[in-house]
Amino acid sequence: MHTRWKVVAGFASAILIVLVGAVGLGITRRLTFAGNRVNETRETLSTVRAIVRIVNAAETSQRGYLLTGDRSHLASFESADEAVATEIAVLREAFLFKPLQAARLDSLERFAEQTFGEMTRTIAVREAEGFGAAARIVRSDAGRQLMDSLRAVALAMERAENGLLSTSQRVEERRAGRASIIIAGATLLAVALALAANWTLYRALNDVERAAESQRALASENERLYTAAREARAAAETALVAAEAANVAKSDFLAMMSHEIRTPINAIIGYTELLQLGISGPVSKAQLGHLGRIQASGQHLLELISEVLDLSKVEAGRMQVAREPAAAGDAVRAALSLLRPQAAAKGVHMAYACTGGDDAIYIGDEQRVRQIVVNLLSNAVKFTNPGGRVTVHCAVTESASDGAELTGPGPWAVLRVEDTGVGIAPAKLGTIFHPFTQIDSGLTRTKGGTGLGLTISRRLARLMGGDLTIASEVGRGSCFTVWLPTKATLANALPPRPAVGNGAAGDGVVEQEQISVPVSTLGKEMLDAIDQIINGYVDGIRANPELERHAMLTDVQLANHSASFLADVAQSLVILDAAGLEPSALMRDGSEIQRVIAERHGAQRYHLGWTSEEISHDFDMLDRAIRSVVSEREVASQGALEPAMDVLAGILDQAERVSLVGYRLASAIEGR
Amino acid sequence: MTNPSVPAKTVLIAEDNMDNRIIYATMLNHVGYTVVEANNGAEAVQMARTVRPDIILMDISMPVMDGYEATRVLKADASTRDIPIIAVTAHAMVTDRDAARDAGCDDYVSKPVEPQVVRSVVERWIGAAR
Repeated sequence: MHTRWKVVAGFASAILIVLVGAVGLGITRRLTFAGNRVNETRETLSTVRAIVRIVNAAETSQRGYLLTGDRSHLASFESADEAVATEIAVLREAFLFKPLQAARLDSLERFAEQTFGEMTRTIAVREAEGFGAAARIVRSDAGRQLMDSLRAVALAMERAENGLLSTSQRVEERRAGRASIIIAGATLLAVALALAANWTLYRALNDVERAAESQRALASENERLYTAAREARAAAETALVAAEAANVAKSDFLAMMSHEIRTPINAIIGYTELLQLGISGPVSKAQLGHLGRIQASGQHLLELISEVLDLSKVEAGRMQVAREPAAAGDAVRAALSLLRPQAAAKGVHMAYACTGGDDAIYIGDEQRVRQIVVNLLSNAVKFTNPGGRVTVHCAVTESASDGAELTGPGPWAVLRVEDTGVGIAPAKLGTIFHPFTQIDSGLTRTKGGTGLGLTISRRLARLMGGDLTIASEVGRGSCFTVWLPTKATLANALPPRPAVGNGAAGDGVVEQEQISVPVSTLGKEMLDAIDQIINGYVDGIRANPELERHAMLTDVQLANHSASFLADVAQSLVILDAAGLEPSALMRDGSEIQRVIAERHGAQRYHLGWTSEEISHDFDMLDRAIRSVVSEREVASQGALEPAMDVLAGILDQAERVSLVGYRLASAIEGR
Repeated sequence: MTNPSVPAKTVLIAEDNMDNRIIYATMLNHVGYTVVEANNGAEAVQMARTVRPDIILMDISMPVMDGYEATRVLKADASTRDIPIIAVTAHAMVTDRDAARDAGCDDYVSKPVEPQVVRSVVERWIGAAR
């Protein structure tokens, strides 16, 4: 803003110069007046002298007549009176504002009158009494005294006039002197201001040019970044596709591997049983004991392989779960019947309350729910001493508790497995869901179990949109709670997958309250309509007068930015859906690239001088453009768009947050 | 009660894994069945036609011709149609069960098949060896 003051200074110097000119003009006019004054004075003086001359001439002509008696000499005398009167009138004009001079003029006039009167008398005497009488009057000096007085007054008037002139000349000189100084000073000041203003403006121009230069540099860096981003995205896409293919191959490999491992284990179990049955020959008691241990290890191995396979599928986002309504009671009863022999043999009492009004309907995969409950019951029985109790409750609850990490709205179906067993120490509670954790160094493995059951169970629960939580007290027992959604919402309102183990050839239509458009469909629509969306976005920005920073970018730049980003987001939606909305480890790389791009985007905007509000506004415009385009396409009539749009909004929010982080980082570094 | 004069019932074991074959055969021999073995689906079809066993234990994943295919062939053939075929599946998935049923299998067991289970399923379908 300093530049404004510099411009003001430039104008000020111009005004100063004008003032100087005005002052100069003023001085010139004064000089003219001064010249006029001199002329006036000269005229006044000449008038005064003229009066004296006329009177003199009159006297001379009078004397001439007195001497000769010739009336022709009286010519100038006769006209003198009038002439003097005329001149006196002139002087009266001149002395309008000079009272002293006017007073002298009165005296002069009187003397002139008296002189003329005297002269007239003298002439009359000559005429009447001849030369001698007239000569006597002349000799009496009365006339001469009058003349002298007249001359004296005239002289005084001249002197006064000259004095006035020189006084006013001195005043004028002083004024002129002062004015010259002022003019000189003002001129110098004006010149100095002008020079200073110009110089600083020149430097400011440099700044402006540099700013424009850096703007251009940033714009071209922008281009480079977008190109790099586009290439990175393409590379990431290729990588993702390859990685997903590798993932598939890996899980195929895992499945094959597990099959390969299971085959020899089956042989171990088979042969061991033959030996145990005595088919291969008589077996001693000791041998039977050992064979039993071999058998148990073989079973354990099988269980382990199965669970590792499950876990790897879940972790890779390749496990598919059904999302159908089912009664919790069914899964509970099935699990209970599986474990009843075990419990009975150990003397642990099992009970459940999951029928009729106590039952709960959930949305999920019944086979997996059964798997979870079996796992929980098996643990409960294992860790409860003979005489203890294991109880299963089913219920529906409105909101989450126990630290359950649930997304989406309630209500929730809860299955609680409580035991009166040994309980788990608070310190161990944190790691209980981790793979292969030993609850108690002596206990877990002696009590059997692969160490994976709880890990898998929780993953399965979360995959279905729920969770698995634990509350426990050492010495009193534990309570595991399975949370499952009851409503077909975003997390589980996706089209049914070919659910493994669900009977109908992967076709089950999900009975939901509301058919929602799948997230991947939204992603594909976005990709199809990407040009429309971009145009809408650019138009929206141009139509908004408040987005001045955007105005500095060309349409092409705006379009480039939004195109790459939109395509990224759309792809994310497609992949997210395929991974069951659980970002796989591979997706994280893609997200990593997006995160880096978003951060740099924010830093860039900072360098271009954007505010953080404008950045948020930018994302807002994108969101609006997407919504307005997609809502008018055919897909909008195929179901509710909101759930999928919510996912999109989440991604845009994320990107906006990261972008603002980049923005703040950049401003912190620059120390703004 | 085993009667040596009555010929023992025959079980055809179609299984490509040697250990599994030995285990099933040992078990079934022990309780008196006559056992014949085939290494793959094609062999199984051939042997079924020539030997006419009383029951077939058909492993699903076999080279050359898998269990489903062999089952379909045998069930389409009038001479072998009535022989009960027990599918031995590696997975316990519902889809496997359905596939087995669709191919024409009469029953199934899933691996790991314990010898006791082999015996009981055979006995359930064709009774004791003699």
